[in-house]
Amino acid sequence: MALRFHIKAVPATAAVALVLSLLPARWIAPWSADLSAILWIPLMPAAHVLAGARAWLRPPMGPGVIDAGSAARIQEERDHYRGLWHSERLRVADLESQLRLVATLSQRSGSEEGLVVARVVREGDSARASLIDAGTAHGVQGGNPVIALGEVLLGRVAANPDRWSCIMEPINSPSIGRIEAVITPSEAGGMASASRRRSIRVQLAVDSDGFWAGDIDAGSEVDLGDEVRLDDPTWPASARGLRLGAVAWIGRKDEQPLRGQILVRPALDSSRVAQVVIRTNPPQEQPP
Amino acid sequence: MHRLVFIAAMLIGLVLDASFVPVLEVGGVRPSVLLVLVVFVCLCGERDAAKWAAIAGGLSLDLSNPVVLSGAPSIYVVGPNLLGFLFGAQLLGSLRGVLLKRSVLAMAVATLLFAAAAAVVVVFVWSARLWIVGPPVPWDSSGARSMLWSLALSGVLSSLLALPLGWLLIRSFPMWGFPSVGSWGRR
Repeated sequence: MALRFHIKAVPATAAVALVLSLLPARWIAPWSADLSAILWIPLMPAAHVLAGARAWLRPPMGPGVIDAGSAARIQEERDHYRGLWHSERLRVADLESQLRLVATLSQRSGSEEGLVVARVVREGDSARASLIDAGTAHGVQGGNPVIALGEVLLGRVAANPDRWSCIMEPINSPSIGRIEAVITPSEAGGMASASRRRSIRVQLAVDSDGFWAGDIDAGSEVDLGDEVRLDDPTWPASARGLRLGAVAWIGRKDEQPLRGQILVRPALDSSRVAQVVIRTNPPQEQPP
Repeated sequence: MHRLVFIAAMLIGLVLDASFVPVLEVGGVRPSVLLVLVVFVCLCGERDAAKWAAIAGGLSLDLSNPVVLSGAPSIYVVGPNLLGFLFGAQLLGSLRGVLLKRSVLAMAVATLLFAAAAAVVVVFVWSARLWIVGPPVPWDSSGARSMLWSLALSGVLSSLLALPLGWLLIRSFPMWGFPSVGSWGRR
């Protein structure tokens, strides 16, 4: 009887082993590691002693037995790959930032407009033109608005862009001339108070400090920090509503007592921006 | 066969394989004391004892060689070595009528045959596992062929190890409780 049991037990064990060997890792990982630990716990002390004997008889290769030339080469390679790793990390961070920027702008604008992410390859000062590495090959045309941080209008593409680059005229450049804008209540004071006040239209001109100056009625409800957004029909529609800056000073005009004056600080200094987005025109539909 | 003797010898072989035998490593391949021990039992023990010795040896080997998963705990796949050893024992069981029982050279040849048979089954089971449930597998990008080649080389080294180790095991023959020569092959 015992003999029959043994004869059947071996194939049964083989069958069980075959099934176990084909189980997914998540099914066997929890218990197989425990089984191994149970098997090896009593063997560990002996294994440790024997491993020491082996290391004495045949020392493993390690830093101590590598010659100086090899060690220097390995360190050099390590430093090289460490540098590459840091470089790639920065590149990934850069790409993530571009992705966020494009995602933000895509939500704000319709699908008809194109968005070109570009770099400022040569900075001008705050009121002078900067060179951007995107051109007609990317769909950029003269007059396209140049944006940063998702909604801040930095300027526009100068006329006749090159194939691979273009010039950006900063929004506070004297060459831009007067621009029409709208002062909207800042949301810092709360949505309720902001909604009670209405928007005020204003015409802005650049002063010598790079700020915009504009006239308003003396009784206008304008507070410091109120946002100023472009509302100029001479600019592309895609630029309207973009943020220019914030009210930095409110005063009264001496020569016109019923008129007030404001100064608007640009939201961004265009000379300190490294990455921009250009909103290109929607492609023209071909006539049938 | 005295089971306690085999279990003690198997554990000693397991510890030696894991900790000391790497001193004999050649080109990243090492022999196996456990393999030689199982071959010795297959040649000298009863048929059933040989099969159970192969099962125990293969199982202990499976539980000693984890497959490392990147970013996850290692897993021990129970089965490939167990089945490989069992197949090797089956092969030796059919050949031991033509092999000298107490010959060191016969042990070396039997070790080589056993290792080759086991290697084929081990690689086959891992390949089947890869096909059915996917990674991980114990071979690198060079594929299953490299593992088969590595196991075959290990078998060659083990057969060389079987020359001195076989001599020692044959010397210890009385303590194993194997059946006398006249009763071989009956069970």
